[in-house]
Amino acid sequence: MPGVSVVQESGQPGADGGTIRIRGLSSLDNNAKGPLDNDVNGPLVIVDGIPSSIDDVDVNDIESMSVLKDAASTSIYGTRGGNGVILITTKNGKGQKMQVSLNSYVAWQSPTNLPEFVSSADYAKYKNIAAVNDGKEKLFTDEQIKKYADGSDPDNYPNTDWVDLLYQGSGFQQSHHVALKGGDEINSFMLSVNYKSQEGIIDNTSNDKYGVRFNLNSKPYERLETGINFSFNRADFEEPSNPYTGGFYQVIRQTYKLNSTITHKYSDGNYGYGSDGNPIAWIDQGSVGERIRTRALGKLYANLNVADNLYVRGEFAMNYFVNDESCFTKDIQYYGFGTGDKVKYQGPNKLEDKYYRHTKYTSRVIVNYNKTIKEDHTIGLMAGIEREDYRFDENEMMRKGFPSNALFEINAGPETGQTMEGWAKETALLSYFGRINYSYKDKYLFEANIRRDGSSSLADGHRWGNFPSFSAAWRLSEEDFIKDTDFHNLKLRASWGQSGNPSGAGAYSAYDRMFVKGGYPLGGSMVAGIGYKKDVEAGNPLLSWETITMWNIGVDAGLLDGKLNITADYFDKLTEDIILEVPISQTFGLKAPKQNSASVSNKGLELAIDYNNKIGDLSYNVGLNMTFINQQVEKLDGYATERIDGSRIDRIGSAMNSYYGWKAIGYFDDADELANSAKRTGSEKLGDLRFEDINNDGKIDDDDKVILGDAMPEISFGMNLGLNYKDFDFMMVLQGAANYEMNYRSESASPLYGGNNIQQYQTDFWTPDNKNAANPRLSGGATNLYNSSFFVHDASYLRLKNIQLGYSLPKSILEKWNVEKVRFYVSGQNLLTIADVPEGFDPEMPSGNGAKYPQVKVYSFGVNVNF
Amino acid sequence: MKRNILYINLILLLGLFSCSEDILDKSPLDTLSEDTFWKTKADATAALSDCYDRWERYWTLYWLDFATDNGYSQFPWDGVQAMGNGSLTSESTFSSDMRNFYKFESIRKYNSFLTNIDKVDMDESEIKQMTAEVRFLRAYDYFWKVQFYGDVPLITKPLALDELTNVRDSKEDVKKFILDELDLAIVDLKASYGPNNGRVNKAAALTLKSRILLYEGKFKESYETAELIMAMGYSLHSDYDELFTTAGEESGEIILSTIHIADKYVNYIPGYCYPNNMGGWTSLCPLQSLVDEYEMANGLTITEDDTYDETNPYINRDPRLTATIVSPGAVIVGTRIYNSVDATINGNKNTDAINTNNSTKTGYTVRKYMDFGLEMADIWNHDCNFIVFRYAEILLTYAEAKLEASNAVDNSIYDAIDAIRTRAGMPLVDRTAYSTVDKLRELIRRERRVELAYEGLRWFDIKRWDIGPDVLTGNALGCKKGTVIGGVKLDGDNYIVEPRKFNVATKYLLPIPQQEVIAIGTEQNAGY
Repeated sequence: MPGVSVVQESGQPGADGGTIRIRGLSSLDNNAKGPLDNDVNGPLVIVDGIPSSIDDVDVNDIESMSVLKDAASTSIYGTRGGNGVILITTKNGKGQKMQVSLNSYVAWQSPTNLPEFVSSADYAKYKNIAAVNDGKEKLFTDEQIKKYADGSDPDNYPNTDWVDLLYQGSGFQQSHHVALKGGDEINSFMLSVNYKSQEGIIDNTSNDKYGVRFNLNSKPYERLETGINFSFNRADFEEPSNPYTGGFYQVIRQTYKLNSTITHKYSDGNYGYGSDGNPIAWIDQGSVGERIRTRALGKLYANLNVADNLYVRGEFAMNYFVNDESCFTKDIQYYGFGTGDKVKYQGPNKLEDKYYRHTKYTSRVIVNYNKTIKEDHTIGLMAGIEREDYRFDENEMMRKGFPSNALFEINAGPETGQTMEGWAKETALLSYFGRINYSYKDKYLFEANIRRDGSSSLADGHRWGNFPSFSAAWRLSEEDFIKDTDFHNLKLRASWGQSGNPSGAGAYSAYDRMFVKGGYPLGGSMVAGIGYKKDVEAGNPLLSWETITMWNIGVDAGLLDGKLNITADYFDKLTEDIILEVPISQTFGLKAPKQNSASVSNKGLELAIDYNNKIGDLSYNVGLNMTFINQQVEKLDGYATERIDGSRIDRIGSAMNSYYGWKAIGYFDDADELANSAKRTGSEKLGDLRFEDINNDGKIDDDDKVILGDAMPEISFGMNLGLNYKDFDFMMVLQGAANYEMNYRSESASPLYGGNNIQQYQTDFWTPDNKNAANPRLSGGATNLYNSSFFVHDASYLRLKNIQLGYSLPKSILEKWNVEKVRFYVSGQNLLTIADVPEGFDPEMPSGNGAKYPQVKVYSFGVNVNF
Repeated sequence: MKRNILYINLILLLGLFSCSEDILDKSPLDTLSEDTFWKTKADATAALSDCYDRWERYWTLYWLDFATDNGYSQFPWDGVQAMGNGSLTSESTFSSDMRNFYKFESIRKYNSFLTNIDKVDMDESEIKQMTAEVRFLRAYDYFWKVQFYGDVPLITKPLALDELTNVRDSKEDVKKFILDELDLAIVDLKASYGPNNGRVNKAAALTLKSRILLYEGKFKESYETAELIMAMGYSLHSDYDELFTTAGEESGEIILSTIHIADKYVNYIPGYCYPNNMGGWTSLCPLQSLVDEYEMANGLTITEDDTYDETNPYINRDPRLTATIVSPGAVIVGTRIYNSVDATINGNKNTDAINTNNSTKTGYTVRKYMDFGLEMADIWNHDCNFIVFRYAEILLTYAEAKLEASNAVDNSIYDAIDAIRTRAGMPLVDRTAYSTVDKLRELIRRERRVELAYEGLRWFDIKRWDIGPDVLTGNALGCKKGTVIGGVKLDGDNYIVEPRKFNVATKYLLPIPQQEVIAIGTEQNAGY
């Protein structure tokens, strides 16, 4: 859908959900997280009228889904509506006979693309070259290199393929969904259960989801409609942990960091280890973090027809979400090969249990009045009030030094060194809203909305915001002068509206907060301290709403008797008063308070074209959608010039969160060039990156840094093709994006730095005989690691996101079996990608060091049955 | 009936809104505010404890010597490597475990304490006492700032947002402030709280004062201040090696240390610095330059003594060498021998060898503070205190300041140095060889370097003696290549660790953090 981008950053079971963006970003940072770890730029997802998560809806339960993009339609949702709204309605069996459906598939995943590292002999060779380049000692003798190459002594001179050892998981997936629905004029219902199990391509990565959904609608009286929507979802997630830092990240990072001269496992059965341990040993040992997430979502509603055309609707919803984590990290003792001495130890073993809960109650009363006067004039009035109460609770506990790695529960661990933490927070939101709409002969349509929101996150005097919106549409196709043309449908739309977002503020950002802290061993034993925390911002009682203002002009056209449909929209979205921690002088001594500061704009064009037709038995449809977005920073109040955070910059007039650094213009190829070019430190050597001296002052410093690109595609597009021929159906979806960049940082881009490994693509490095190399000279130092254009890659891509071929059993057979539908299909995801990014990276993966569960291809086989 | 229930439900729903907009007043659930704090002694104690939290870090003091000719910090992200080899830039960062030199978080705590303590309802004497402690902590923080940055903003009260500044006060003003504050603190500080206590005492404030006076070249005042401490009953610990272990925590030599407790206030040095073969990261690697500085056991320097064996340089040396540095072939503990020079041992790869990750890059590793004698279950959960001030520094300060002030040799100077040498197991100062001011200065400086190695003072000594251009340039060297299997035999060249250059333009100052320069407009130090 145009204007909507979905990016899948990883293929990890349970962490493979897409990141959804509707009409660009409303903050400076695409990855900005709100106070509840919520996605600040993400849309509001409403399932059957309740804010929820898209992860907790099984696709088979969805009756309809719509995306609200323009302010006129989102403003009524107030807070968080500014990033767009996804409305999902689940199925109900209204007026249908009883129907049972079954949807199942099995699938396998495999990585799209993995990094390739060099052999141990090559590693030793390159390490020597780097050492000599750095004026240091060679680290490996020729004899040692020879032993690495000939493999005669695999204990002492191994050639370990760490990447291969890591990706040993089956990648098997399965999903099953059974639903029952039906109803009569009074009662209707839908009941479904689903189960989805995913195993990853790394051992101990998995995600098992279970869900139940029940919808009941009843109309016991002519004037009353009532019902419930209930869903319960549970996801059991697992990923490896490690005794070095805890968590999954280091398992992949260490795999990509360790070089092949390090032994994975000696012939005596003991594990080898690198600087920070052995990631494969951690996996074999089974240090696993488990996370069970349960969400119960329930809504009770009643809609009463009080008088003619007058309805009062009441809704009460509860959203209860529990995250229950338990991670037992096993300790590991490494032994010296041959000596049996205890060498490295990673531990102690420990159990960390963490439990948190979100509880949200939403209550809403809405009064609706609709009337059509003299057939031509339709008027609608609506007024409502809504209250949202939210509470977050978290408790954590840890014990360590368990007598054995086989004991998993808290009681088995000693009290010494145990820790316990717990905290909670509450917020409330109160809203009044109203709507008036009027249409004349269904030809001219007008609508006005107003919403007034008050948030407890903001201090008294600043907590209320008013957000109006207006829209108008003209259905030209209803006009006589269009009626006889080729236009089956033609509609012009225009809207303007505002919505608010307090999510940049934490629950208590308005207050100065002094915490009870660990303190110091005054007098020899711990004395609790009380004071400000250095990672908690100082309070700002002046904090107020972020406001999003959006214009939208659009046209919908249907041609060729509705076979060709075109929708085009132009939007201009401005987010103002974005809440940021504006840097202040360190002399303040507390973390900078949050302030309303920046403005950003997203202007764009959306185009969707759909064509469907039929040739004999072949029916087909072709769709194309494109989005062009221009986003830039408009204002940065409180900043001296621009906002620089390491390798990123926000500069007025440029895209948000742009990459920032020096422009690499080649290498120091000869002594002359080295002597006469501008330099960064003066200790540069032949083969180092040469940066452009932008201001021509003879030196490379901060004044020579330029914007090197940004991570948000200016163009994104999708294409789909669907075919139906007799009992066969075929579908494919292409997805792509262009004009954006990725910044590969840290280990991935710094071969041999510190204890880093070196990738195959990095072995084309500068030497006096290879001046056209893709990489600078080898070095163990940081000379070439400054933020520069060298690390910024064009990430434009085109990907075959999905392809599917289906076959349905012919009616003749089905009738015999008394079955309505039986369809089999095979499908593949991410089967083909065209992109020019280094091995181990994926264009949908965010910038960084690449130490992330990779993007995957998925091959699946499925069946749909309806009785 | 059904209908009634539904109506009741609707009325209940409406009832949810009957409350007023008060529901939007949500106060934090687990935190306090200034309005309700600063009332009782418990408040003051908690605030004091928060002031002490990270007032000094073993990281700062230990690591800092590895930015000098005493050592090499092998992991660039620790931050001091760039400081040592002259490649520091305004973007360089220090490990978060290190003291945040330019940050004012601690200053804010101290200022807040000193501004509010009078509101607390408790004994006047206790208020005075705590005030003096926090005055010291603040002076100590500014001592680092003025040493590392020269001019710095001198903030003496908690600032409101509209009072912030990018103006750097002159270093003279800051130094005067520090000395004035120390004088105020000295009056009210207690002489002692008992050993292993961690609270600032009178001698700590006097030590800092004498140190600053020494650095400032006010030699007479410096040794006079040292004399005050020398009359306070401190004494040198009999065992130099033991002083830096948990067994030495209650020594009468210690004036002030940071206190560490397992699980709660941990000392991570063993994890960072144990050799690879014992599970550590060998983060800090001593350099040959320091090894060469230790005298022979007979009191001659290695260049003066013909018996010095270059191929086995570790025998018959000042015992402080083995107490401070683990050299190849040395026994670490029990039967465990440190071997960093042989690539293989009995045909198997040696994981302490120089070319292995997390092994030394100089051939040496550290012993001071490693507590190797202790069977540590978890090297990342050590509880040894770290000494900030000890009596040996006073004696060395006295000797140096007295010599410089009087520009003459006298017995009190010999006595001070003799005390330190005797404790270390070294012969008394040779009165004939060190009879002139110049020779004795040379000895005092050598004595200071070896006695106080890895205690965070070398950088400042290099700075005030202005010997950076001599000692912080050229190739940093490790031990000689060779073998230690079947006896130490190092007959090769020294390992070259890294080339270093000294950036004279920086005048021993660090760069102001880039953000402070760009966003706030604070003036950058020269040379960056």
